[in-house]
Amino acid sequence: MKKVLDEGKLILIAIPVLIWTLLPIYHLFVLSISTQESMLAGRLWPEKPTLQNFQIVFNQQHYYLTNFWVQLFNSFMIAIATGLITLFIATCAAFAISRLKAPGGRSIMNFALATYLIPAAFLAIPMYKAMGTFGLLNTRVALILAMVALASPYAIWVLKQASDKLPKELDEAAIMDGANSLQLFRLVYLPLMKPSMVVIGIYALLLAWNEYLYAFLLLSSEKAVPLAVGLGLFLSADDAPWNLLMTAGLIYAIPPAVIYYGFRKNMVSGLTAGAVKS
Amino acid sequence: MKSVRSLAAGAALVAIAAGWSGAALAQETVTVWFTKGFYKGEDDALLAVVDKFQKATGVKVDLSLYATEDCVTKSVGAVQAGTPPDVGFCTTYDFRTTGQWAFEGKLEDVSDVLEPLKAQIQPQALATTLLMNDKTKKKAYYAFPVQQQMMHITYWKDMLEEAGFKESDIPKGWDGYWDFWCDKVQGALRAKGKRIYAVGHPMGVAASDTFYSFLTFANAFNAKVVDENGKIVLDEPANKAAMVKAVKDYSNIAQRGCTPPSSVNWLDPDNNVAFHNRTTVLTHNATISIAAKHLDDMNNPALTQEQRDQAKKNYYDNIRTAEFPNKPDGSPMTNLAAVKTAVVFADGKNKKRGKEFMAFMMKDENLRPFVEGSVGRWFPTTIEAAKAEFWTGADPHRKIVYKQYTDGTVPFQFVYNYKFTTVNAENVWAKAVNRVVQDKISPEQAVDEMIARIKQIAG
Repeated sequence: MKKVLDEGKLILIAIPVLIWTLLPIYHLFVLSISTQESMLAGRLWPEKPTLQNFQIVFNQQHYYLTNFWVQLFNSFMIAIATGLITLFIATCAAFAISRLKAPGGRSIMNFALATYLIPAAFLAIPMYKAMGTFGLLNTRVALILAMVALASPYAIWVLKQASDKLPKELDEAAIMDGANSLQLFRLVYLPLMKPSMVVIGIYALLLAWNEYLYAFLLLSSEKAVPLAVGLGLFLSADDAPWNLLMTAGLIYAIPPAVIYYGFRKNMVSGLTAGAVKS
Repeated sequence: MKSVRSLAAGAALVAIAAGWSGAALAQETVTVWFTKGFYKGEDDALLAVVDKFQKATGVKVDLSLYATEDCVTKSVGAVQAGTPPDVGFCTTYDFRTTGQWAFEGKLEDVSDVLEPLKAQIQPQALATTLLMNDKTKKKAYYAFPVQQQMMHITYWKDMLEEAGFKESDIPKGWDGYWDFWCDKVQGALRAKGKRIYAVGHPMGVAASDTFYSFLTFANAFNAKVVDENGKIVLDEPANKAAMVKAVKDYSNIAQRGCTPPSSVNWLDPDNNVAFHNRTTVLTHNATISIAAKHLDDMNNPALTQEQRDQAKKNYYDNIRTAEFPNKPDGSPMTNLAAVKTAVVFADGKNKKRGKEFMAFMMKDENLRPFVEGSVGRWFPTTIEAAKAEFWTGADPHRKIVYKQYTDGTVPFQFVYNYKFTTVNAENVWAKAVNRVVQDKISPEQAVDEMIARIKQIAG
């Protein structure tokens, strides 16, 4: 009986939370299947649901959607590059700090983590200036580098924690068998770190996918910006075609959702990998 | 081996960097940032100007287009970082930054370009670009008046008729006008069981529509806030009394339940949204974007024929653009105009070419298609373009816009004292109205608070 009551209480809390969470997504979906005339009618479900908006978006038939596919490609390219580069840097750094005990490694990691004390938005102008100095403004490289810089400290920290959990005996055994540092990294470390690496790769990828501020600051050309910035154009006027914006937004939200659900088991195990020291 | 790899990686980076800088050196470039037009016609016209300029000068125009808010945010960031473009034109520069940049010496003096064009530009539009520079302690032309906007009334004619009234029933006097909509029209529609509000009345602190609308009311009551030298005169008894009346009147529309309760939190799109979904019969808006949306829809091939036909009916028959009623003293309304300004940045790498580009852009044959590309959302600043058939012809909405401009305009306070950009950004006006509507304080007390805050910011 007590169990039933406890579960009942949980459900009572869960239902409003679920509605609160899903309502914006539902609103996004409803607007995406509404016509121009009915989208603002305030109905819970449109009178005549339509896929016309998807047709307009996919065929780039609205002026603000002229570069839809290019911008979607940019989003993928920037997100994947950020994920891979962050993963490379963080894995190497965590290996050096945790396994090779590189002198000063912990201090460097702590310094890197300290950058999170400053909100990313405050770093936007210095980052803009730095990219301008290097002549990288209006290149996708600038955005990728900025996102890697933002993602790396956390990524290094998580991977270092996960790495600390691996038994040292494995390294010792491999060294006894004649493995050098690179072989230790490739043949022992990487296979064991796979779950944590997946979660960090996805973390960096989603960070870049959802980025807006740095993307619009560092990139200028309409053909270079990711879709998040491209969709911002819809807000150029107070009479935005909200149904098209919501349709494009819904499409833009699908890849991260797919990635998250595809790797959710890794996400949980990876995120908790470094949580407790054994 | 490691060092060989490091060297190779370094060499690759240097080669890439050299490639970038090499490409940049290949051709002289002028960097231009503009707000992206809402309609294709605007950007097509701009691209045509860019193309013509490139052919005429051999200089490459590196053009970037941004959404309205992104444009000004990015410009501010670039100016702070010391890497602005050569030319900037964002449609909120005038509200936010032009005056301040001129005062701080961040803009190039463009008097040499504008002086010869003076006779072609509407004097009141030109006057808004004569700005103070604190470094030189002199006023000069620091911006190009590209296009302008003002407040208009937009209403559903078919809803008015549904309430049992004709357009000729709408009073011309100030009090009678608002009473007609709030009491008669709303009353008649409510009597038919419809949950409709007469007026979409922006009151959100975060909305620029609110300060534009409110200052129109203040203007109607002749509440003068600053003089031509930028000195605050709102605390003078006559001005203060007029401002109290404006606050009282503006608040009254909400207090009598004539605008949706949510309007206290509205952002800029919300009065448009409420109008489009027919929650409100009338709204005041700083462009004719509401009607223009239907003009755009009626020519949109992506929509169905039925949707295009409905949009056409809305544009020509159902929606009306109108002037504000006469002032409470009975005199005709003089409209508050915001002139959208393009600037050449003092720290721009190629500001000489930037000035040349803007001089080229300001030619009537280049500027007119750009302004007209907005299908009426923006009004020209040149005398000839304003007289064009586009404005004086049969279009039911644009001819009203033309009439409003020819009736006369007045500038915003920030033209005389740039610190009013902060007053507007903080929306001191909306805060005063909300103090009356939500906190139930008297309009007199709200205006006292308003004056105190304005003096702190802009005194």
